This record gives sequence, structure tokens and C-alpha cells, in this order.
Amino acid sequence: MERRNFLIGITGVAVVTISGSLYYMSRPVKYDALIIEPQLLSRIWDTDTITSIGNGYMAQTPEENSENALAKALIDDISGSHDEMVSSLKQKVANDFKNGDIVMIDGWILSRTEARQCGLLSKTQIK
Amino acid sequence: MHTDTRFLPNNSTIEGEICIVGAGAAGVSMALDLSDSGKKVILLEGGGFEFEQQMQDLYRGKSTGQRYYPLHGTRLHYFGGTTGHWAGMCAPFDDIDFETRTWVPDSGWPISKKDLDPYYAKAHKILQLGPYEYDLSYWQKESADLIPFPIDQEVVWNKMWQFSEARFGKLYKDEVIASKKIHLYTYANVVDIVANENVSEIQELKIKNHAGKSHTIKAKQFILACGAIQNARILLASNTQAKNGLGNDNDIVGRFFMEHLEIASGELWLAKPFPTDLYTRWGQPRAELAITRKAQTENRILNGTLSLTPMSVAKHIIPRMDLLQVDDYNEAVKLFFENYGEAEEKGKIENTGSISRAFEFQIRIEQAPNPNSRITIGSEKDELGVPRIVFNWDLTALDKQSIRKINWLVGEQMGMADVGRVRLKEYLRDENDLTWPSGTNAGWHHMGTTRMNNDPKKGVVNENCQVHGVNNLFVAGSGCYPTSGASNPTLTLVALSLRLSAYLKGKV
Repeated sequence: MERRNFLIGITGVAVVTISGSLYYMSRPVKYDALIIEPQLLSRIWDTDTITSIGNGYMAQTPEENSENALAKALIDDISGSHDEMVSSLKQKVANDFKNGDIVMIDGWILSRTEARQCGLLSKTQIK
Repeated sequence: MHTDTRFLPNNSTIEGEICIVGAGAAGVSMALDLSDSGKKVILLEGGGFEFEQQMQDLYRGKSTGQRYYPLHGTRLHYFGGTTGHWAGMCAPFDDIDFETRTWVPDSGWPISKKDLDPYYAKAHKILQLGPYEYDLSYWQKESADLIPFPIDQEVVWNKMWQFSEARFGKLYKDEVIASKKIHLYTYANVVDIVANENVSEIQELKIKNHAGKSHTIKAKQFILACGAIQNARILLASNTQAKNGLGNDNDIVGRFFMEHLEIASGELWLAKPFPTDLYTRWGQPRAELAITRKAQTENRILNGTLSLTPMSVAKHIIPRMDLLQVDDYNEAVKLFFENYGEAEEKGKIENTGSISRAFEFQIRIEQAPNPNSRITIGSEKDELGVPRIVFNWDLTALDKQSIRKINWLVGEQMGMADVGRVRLKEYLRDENDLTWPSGTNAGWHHMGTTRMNNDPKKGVVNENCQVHGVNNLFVAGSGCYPTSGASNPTLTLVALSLRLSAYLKGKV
């Protein structure tokens, strides 16, 4: 997906507050929706593909099948400015590959972090 | 000198000191090398100088195992042999290819890469290749555009290839005919090997042709250089004196047939444009993504490489195993080039957007040695009375698991370096699925039917390519390979043949 298109897709939801899944956690997670863009994947795929991969990830990992669970998994251990968050997520992706925290969805070899980003994006697309 | 045996008086006897059966890459290389030995070299070619369907028909056989190409179309039966249609891709085997690997049953050669190095250098001249240099750094000095992906070289390295345009038929015909020491006989198909009473020494060969002529060849040393399938066939069919065939007391002749699996295995989608000349240019030295010894050992996998084809083209390419099932060889060649041409045209039109940064991986991988992958002889005979082969190509779990793992390792590296993402082809996604897709291609690389091992119970030939138990019978070529490596076979088979001719020069 081209970045411009992605941004259009989430216009108006720059900051989203999510009511998280009760079974996973009670505290809703606040996050900057811009950071959920899987940076590299969005240069390769269109929105539909990212959504499809996100759905695939949640089907494989049902315990994370909620916005709150996905958001928490993505950002609970990082903080800072928008740019710092983006950079931290990029590092998490690299670390996933390094540590073997890899998932395969529809044949794609992906880091768990970016698969979660796809999952979260697919949740926001539904809204 | 050249003689067409169809025009010799019937039942002629031809005598020399060294007789080479087969005038392909191995046979011609040896004959040229031996021409300065002072010995009379007889070079036998079953066909003539051009393609003839009647000659190809002698190569027909029955396939019973993993789907394979029509057997008469995978080899060429005329002077120059299969170099008449090869793609010319050359790289030496890697050090690990010669070693015993605990996770690869029946692996290990009795010789090392170092033993072959001098002959590799010599083979480069015969194949008209560049210098015997395969380090990326060497070729980067020649061209600054050769930029490797920024991935961990401890896991994935850049294996260089060179390209030969040597078609031995055209290249060496005049030199062979002009040689006073090489006596080339065409239309000379070996139909039987006759040994002494205790089958320890070959006395003569019987040859035939379609003109109804039979002749006898006498020499001191005999070398079979007809390709891995035909060499095994001749040994198995020479079963008058040795019930199971010559050199086959331990039931190894014909076993351990190996191919190179060449299958679309994955996709690489780059995040941004990257100069891929190193991997995609054709006709000049280029690289494939190879797995290091360390990673092969840690993951207990076979040796293999991944080549890159632009995705916009690759998506239109029909698997060769599907395309080339036609009986007529010339039609098969036509279909192959037509399909590739069409794919390129369509690819040009569609090469926009992210697909312009996408490539299809084609794996090129050794086949694990497997005694059930084999050639036997059946009851049906060819026009010259030689039993046709029954061919059972058999793949193993290790073959498929290795293909999957190699793509996975490269996928990890591409992800780690943030270069792009890799997608496995559908048949590789379930690690427990050991089936093969119908388009499981092979490279037309026949290896391993007369494997080399110094123990007669484990090999047909010893480290000097001499058939165990038969003093003056040798095998040249890729049939001697105990393992098939990740490199195409021709450079190594020429090197191994030159090593054999050096040995024979010392012996005869």
C-alpha cells in the first residue's frame, strides 16, 4: 500500500482510544494510529492485502483477536514521540527476525510485530 | 582422424591403447587431454555430428517414479553430447559438497575440493570460461555494479557463477578430426562389454549401428563417458559374464541417481528499488543466494541456492516439467523458448508498481543420495538390441525440508536487514507436507549412478574412477558423484575427467 493511500484510509483517527477486550485487560490502551502502519509492508501491499494478512494473523492467534490486545502487545513496552515510537517498532521488527519470533501468514515470512500491526490495522479498517 | 563405422566392412576390429566411449563434455575433454600422451586414443560416438531422431530414440526408457521428462529428450546423442543444449552455467562444487555430513546419508567423497582445484582451472580453458575465480570480491573489481544484498554473510553468501557458450560439437570437431592421436568413430554404439574369464579385465567392446554393422574395439584401457544414465545402462546390460552386470557385484550400479531440483520456491518483494545486477544479469558472472556451511550444518539441510527472476516475467513461466512432456524433442525446445519469450513480453507490460521490485526465487539444490532413486534395465530392447532402462526417480523428505528451510533462512535475513519480505510457494507452507507439486523441475543433470567410494560395497568406482574389480575399466563424468552439490554438473565433470586422464597418462 502506498503511504499516501494508507493515510487517507485513516484520516480522522489520528488518535484512537480503544476499549480493550475485557478478557485480556481492563485498561484501554491509547495509541497513535499512525504508528500501526507496517512501514515496510505498506510499500509492498495494498490495504486489502494488509487487512487480509491481519485477519490471517488473528485467526492464527485468537488470544490477540482484539484491538486492545494487539495495541498492548505492540506498544506497551515502548514510549516517546511519534518518530521514536515508529523507530522502536521498526527495531522490534528487526529483533523479531533476529530472535526467530516469526509467523507465516499466507506464505509470507513476517515478524510477529508487523503481523500484529496488520491485525490492528484490519481492526481499524472495520470501524 | 574420423571414421564413420557404417562404412567399415562388417565385423571390423579397431585397435588402440585407450578407448573412450562417448564424445560429450567428458569424452572430448579426455581425448583432447590424452592426445599428447603418445598413445592412440579411440573415441567412440554413438551418433554422428548432428541431431538425429533415430539416435535419440535409443535413449527412450520407462519412468516409474517421481514425474520426469521424456528420457530421450534430456540428453543429446551426437558428437558434443548434451553440451549441444546446455545453458552453460558453471561453478565449482563447494568444499562442503565433498565432505561427509552426518545429516546427509551416504554423503562424502573420497577426494576433496583441493584434489580437483588444478583440474577445475584446466576445465575452465576447455569450457572457455573466464579465470578460475569465484569470489565476489574478484568480480566486483571488474564491475562496480555488483552490489550484494546487505544480509548476514554468516548465513547467506553470494555464490558466483560463470557462463560458458562452449558447444563441444562445433567447438572441437575440427580439432578432434585433425588430431593424429585421436581416432574418432561415429555411429559406434556400445552394445556389450567383453571381459576376461574372471571378469577382472576388459578385453573388447562390441559396437553396432543402424546400418546393420557390428565391430569390435580392442584397447588396453576403456573409459565409459556416455553420461550417468547410459554408463549405468551399459554396465547393467553387459551381463553375460557377470550376472548382475559389470561392476555390480554389490548391487550399486544404477542406484543413487541424483538430479538438481530447480523449482520456483518463493518470492522476494523488495521494499524499495535495489540494484540487483549481481543476481539478475545474464551471460556474465552473477550470483545466487547460497547457504553457508555453518547454516547448513546448524539446520541439517542440503546445499542449495536461490536465483532471482523478475516476478512480472516469472509469473508467466510454465514449469518445465509441465511444458516439456511432449515426445518430440525439437517441439519441446520450441515450446520452451516460446513460453520464455511470451513471459518476457507480458512481463515488460506488467512491470509497474511494487511488482517491479519483486522476484521469484528458483531453488537449485542437490538431491540427497538415495539408493531407491535408480536405473535398472527392463525387458524391452532398443533397435540395436540393448535393454532399455527403467528409471525410478525418487525424492526424500530431506530434499523438501531443505528447500523450505533455505527459503525460510533467506526470508529471515531479508526481514532482519529490512530489505524486503519473502513468501513461500504454496507447496512449502505446511512443513509436514512432503508431497511435490506437478511442476517439480529438474535440471537435466544426471548424476550418481556409478558413485565413487573406495569401499566396493559402497561405490561402483574408486577415487580414480576405476570400476571396482575390473582393472582397466573406468567411468568418466557425473555418474561418479557421490553427492550432487548445488552447482550444475558440467564444470565438475570436466574437471573430474581431466583428473582421470592425468591418472591414465601416468598409468598407460
